[in-house]
Amino acid sequence: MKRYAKRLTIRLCSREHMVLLKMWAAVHRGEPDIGDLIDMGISEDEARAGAEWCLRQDVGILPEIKAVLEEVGYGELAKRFGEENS
Amino acid sequence: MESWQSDLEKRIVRILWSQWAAVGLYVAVEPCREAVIDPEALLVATCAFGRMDARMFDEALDWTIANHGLLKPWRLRRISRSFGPAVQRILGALLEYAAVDTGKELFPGVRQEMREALDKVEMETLFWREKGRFEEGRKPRDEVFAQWKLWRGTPRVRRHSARPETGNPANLMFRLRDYYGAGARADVMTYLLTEKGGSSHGIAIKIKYQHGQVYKVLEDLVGAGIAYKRGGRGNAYYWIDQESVAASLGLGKTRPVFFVWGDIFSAFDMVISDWREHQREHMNDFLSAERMRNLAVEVIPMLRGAGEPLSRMPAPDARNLKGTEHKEALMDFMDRAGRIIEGYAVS
Repeated sequence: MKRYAKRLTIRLCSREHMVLLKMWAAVHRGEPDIGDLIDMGISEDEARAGAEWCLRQDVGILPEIKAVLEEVGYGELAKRFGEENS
Repeated sequence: MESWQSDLEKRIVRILWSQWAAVGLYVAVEPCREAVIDPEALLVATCAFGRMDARMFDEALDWTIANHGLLKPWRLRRISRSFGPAVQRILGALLEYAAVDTGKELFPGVRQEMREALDKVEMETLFWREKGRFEEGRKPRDEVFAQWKLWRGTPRVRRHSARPETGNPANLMFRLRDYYGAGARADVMTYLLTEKGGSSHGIAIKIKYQHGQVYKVLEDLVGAGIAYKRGGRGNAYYWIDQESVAASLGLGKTRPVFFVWGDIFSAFDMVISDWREHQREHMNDFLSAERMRNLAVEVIPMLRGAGEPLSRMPAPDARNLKGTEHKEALMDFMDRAGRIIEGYAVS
């Protein structure tokens, strides 16, 4: 967070939050956000955290979350995540 | 193998981005400066490789909406034929979307020809990574693309694309089209200014025109004292004094390298699509080697004939290869070709 003078405050999104928001966009919109997640090189832990956060916002999107996890290269996690939450 | 194919695809995508940056996309990518850009080949190739990069595909659509007047329909048709029906219908969909968006009857002949490809393809998702999202109506689909048997969401058209910056040497083809007009002369001159010269037949193949059109332009240039000719009908060789013609057109001393981008992109697409469509066979070294050996027969001459820097590459001699060596030889050749073109196309 940076403050400029009295009335301007700029808050920059952390990587952690960026992954959550990107995951949400990828689940709902698909491309190009899936490609962005791949370019960001998210780790398995980040992918899981993103998936859990998205599911907390909307329990009806589990199939979409699993599809995104598979596309970003975490097929095994997608399978486990599906089993844990179905 | 999967990583090799994926790296190769990423390299082509990087080349496409740098070319798009040069022709006017509003993106933070260093524009290509050292190789002549072929706008029609660029658009057609984006219909093939844009399936793995939705952002690039939609930016190309944005550019086409803004700059459709700079594209030559007959070259779109000729170049797209070598890519096959899967890419042709994507081109048809993109042009149709641009026509609907602008409210103009754009490229009717191209769309008509591309529509013929629809009988040969199945309904499928446009972007590889969106597979499965649109079946069963889970996500809203774009209607224009759906008519072309392609599922995708609404395109993101930012309307930020500008016109090509003609001071960039890579945009020589645009600059000469601006100067000479819509006929074949501009593209013939682009070739003569960047390559040594050639026969009318050879030049027509390289710039993807009908032979008759190129022959007439060359004879007119000879008649006007701009080009020179050696040999008689049937084996005539044409060339120009590059320095003096470049000076008369106000071009700088450094000129870009000419590549037959239509053939280059098509060759890479053939190998990458084959891998995608025959994944199981490519997982077996011997079956994969057989496929790669057959591909090499077509792909290697195509690439070696696609520009002077590529012609210097030694081609593997299939007679001296056995078993899986065919696969390794083509992979090595494609890697070297990719590095050469990337060296010119990506600054």
